[in-house]
Amino acid sequence: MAASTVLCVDPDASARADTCAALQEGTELAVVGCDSLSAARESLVPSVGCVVTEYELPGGTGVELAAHVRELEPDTACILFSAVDPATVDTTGAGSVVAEYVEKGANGALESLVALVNHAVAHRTQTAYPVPPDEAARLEALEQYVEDPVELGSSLDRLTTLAASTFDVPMAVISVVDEREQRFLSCFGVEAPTLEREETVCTYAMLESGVTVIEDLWSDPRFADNAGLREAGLRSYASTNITTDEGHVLGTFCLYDGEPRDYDEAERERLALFADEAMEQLELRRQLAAGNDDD
Amino acid sequence: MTERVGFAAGLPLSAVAPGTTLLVVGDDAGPGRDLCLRLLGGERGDGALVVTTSAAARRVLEPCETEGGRFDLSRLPLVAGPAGEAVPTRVLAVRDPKDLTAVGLRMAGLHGDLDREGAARVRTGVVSLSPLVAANGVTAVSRFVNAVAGRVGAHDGLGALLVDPQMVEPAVIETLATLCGGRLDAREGEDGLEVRVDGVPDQPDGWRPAPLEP
Repeated sequence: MAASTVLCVDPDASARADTCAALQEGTELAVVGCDSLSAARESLVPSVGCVVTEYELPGGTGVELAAHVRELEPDTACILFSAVDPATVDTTGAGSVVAEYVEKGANGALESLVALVNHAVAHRTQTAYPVPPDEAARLEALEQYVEDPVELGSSLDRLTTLAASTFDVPMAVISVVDEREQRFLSCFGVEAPTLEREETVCTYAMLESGVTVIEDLWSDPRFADNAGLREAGLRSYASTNITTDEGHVLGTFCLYDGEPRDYDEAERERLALFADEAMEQLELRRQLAAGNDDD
Repeated sequence: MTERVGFAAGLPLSAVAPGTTLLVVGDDAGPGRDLCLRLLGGERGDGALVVTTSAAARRVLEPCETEGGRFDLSRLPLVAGPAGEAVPTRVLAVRDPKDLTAVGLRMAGLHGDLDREGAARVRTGVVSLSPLVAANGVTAVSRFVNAVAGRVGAHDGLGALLVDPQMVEPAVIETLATLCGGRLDAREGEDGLEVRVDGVPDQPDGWRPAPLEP
């Protein structure tokens, strides 16, 4: 879901009104105001692209709110907008939260805040992973191809079944990567829920051209601490991107094995063919849907 | 401000787009650190924000300290300000590398100080990311780097973030580089510092010497 809202949290009604007004005037986002930690928690939904919060709140602090945001909506930007000296902010237990700070009351503070909110939402500056350079156009393209992923089911299932057999791996998966999550269109040998983008290997693989092979995920520092991979017994990884004719990467066709392994050149070429076939299936569905719409 | 960001004489780099953050890959205690600091030297009117994450990096900046706990990066012979002018500098010495949230908030506060003091542009350096990666892992540091690069982008500044390839694995460096606007490798050549640019438009190819101008 595209970020469309900024949440403004300030117990001071007058200050909150000023901040909300500046955000309404200076951004294209809907602005929701609230006055406490608990109210902010209740207002946190996936469409919130940015949280602007005072430090001291009824029921807790802005840092506690940011920590909550990271748990529920990890890609949402958090900005502490406060006159409190950042050197005195209590970050105990929140060391990896990461948030921005703008000094409330300083000259030009509201202008700085508005600029920072716009930049943070447009460029997604608090994600824990890199995004492709063409991200906005890529997401736009994705909407055309997978409006209803469930409908794609059987044809893609045949591909993942065949891929698992061809490469002698227990798991094969076709997935797409949307703004915040990896969604699975077909899975063979593994039950895969929707995953946060920062938790998936494909988030990184989709930035590579050609076939990506990680022989041992558990010894790769990017994934060594990923409990989900270990729990699912996923040890080795190979993927190639599912790419439109315009060059936008929609997702990946990937293979997992429970043991470390490599793939030779011929296998890598075959995996690329599977991804091409998946893209053709998606393209066919897109054209059929477009034809139905014309009717 | 929309002017391109230039660099000190001797550095083999063309000016880059405002808001660019560069990942500097090199020895934390040698060529990488030297290149990172030289990138912060700046142009007339610029300010510098330097984050140090080790005692060694803090010691390097000691000659820059002026009265009242302020710093002037131009006092570092390696850097030297434009036309001998002072470079208003804030230094954040990180004592707890595990607390990225505190580091980020304090960086933002110091950045705001330099803005309000009239710095035409703030050049932000982290010397170095390596202890942060060791303490927090790649996911947390990726978010931190993205946020720092975002602040640099929002203010049309320049970022120079150092990472030591002897301390951080290549896959992690690649990931951090994709969060930045380009990568600079630094090494010690026969005649001193050499630099190689990757991923930044309109820059020279291959290893180039980076002599210190007299």
